[in-house]
Amino acid sequence: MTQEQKLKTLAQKIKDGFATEAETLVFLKEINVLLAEIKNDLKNSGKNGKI
Amino acid sequence: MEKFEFKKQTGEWDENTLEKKDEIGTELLTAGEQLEEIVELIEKGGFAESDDAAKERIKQKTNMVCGTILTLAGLWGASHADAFEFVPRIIRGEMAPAETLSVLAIGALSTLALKGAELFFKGKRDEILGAFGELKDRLSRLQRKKFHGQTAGEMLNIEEKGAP
Repeated sequence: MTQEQKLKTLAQKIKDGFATEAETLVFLKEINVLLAEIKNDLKNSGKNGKI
Repeated sequence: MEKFEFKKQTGEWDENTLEKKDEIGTELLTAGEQLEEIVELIEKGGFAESDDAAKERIKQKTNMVCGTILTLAGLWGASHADAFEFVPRIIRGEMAPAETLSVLAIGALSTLALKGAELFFKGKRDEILGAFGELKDRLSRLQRKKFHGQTAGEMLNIEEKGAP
């Protein structure tokens, strides 16, 4: 299962009201990892000389 | 009563639940803080200066975040029904990053946070609503802003390719 499929599966469970709090927590943590990666890509921009 | 209902619904109620509630709240707030930082970086021109590979990574990850969270948000409230309009475009990568980030925050993450507030932070709902209201205002301005004379979408050449 890809990361996107995993997230969508968790989202579906949350939407349907069947997700446990542990699963909700996993979902949010995964989202935060993605946001952190986006942030890091932006922070590191321009450092390779291509501006 | 609330505890009993949760147990009945999920069968997962245990002594760690309160701790998980705190963790969920922390993750929600972290997501909001990270989004704000992302907005600030874009406002400073970080996205414009990213190399092509970084832009592609940003685009893919942003779409993944939006695609999953918006699936939730669109079905969570009539007030965010407009999220439905954006989901197909985001999933197909047809939405400009700045616009995508705006939708992420306005139509989805705020809804997610508010839903989380309802579920886990009832006493702090107004506080969280206020914080995301400010974020919404900032992102609304960002959506109209051009970077280095172009929108982020124009720079990536992924400006709207046609509405669904």
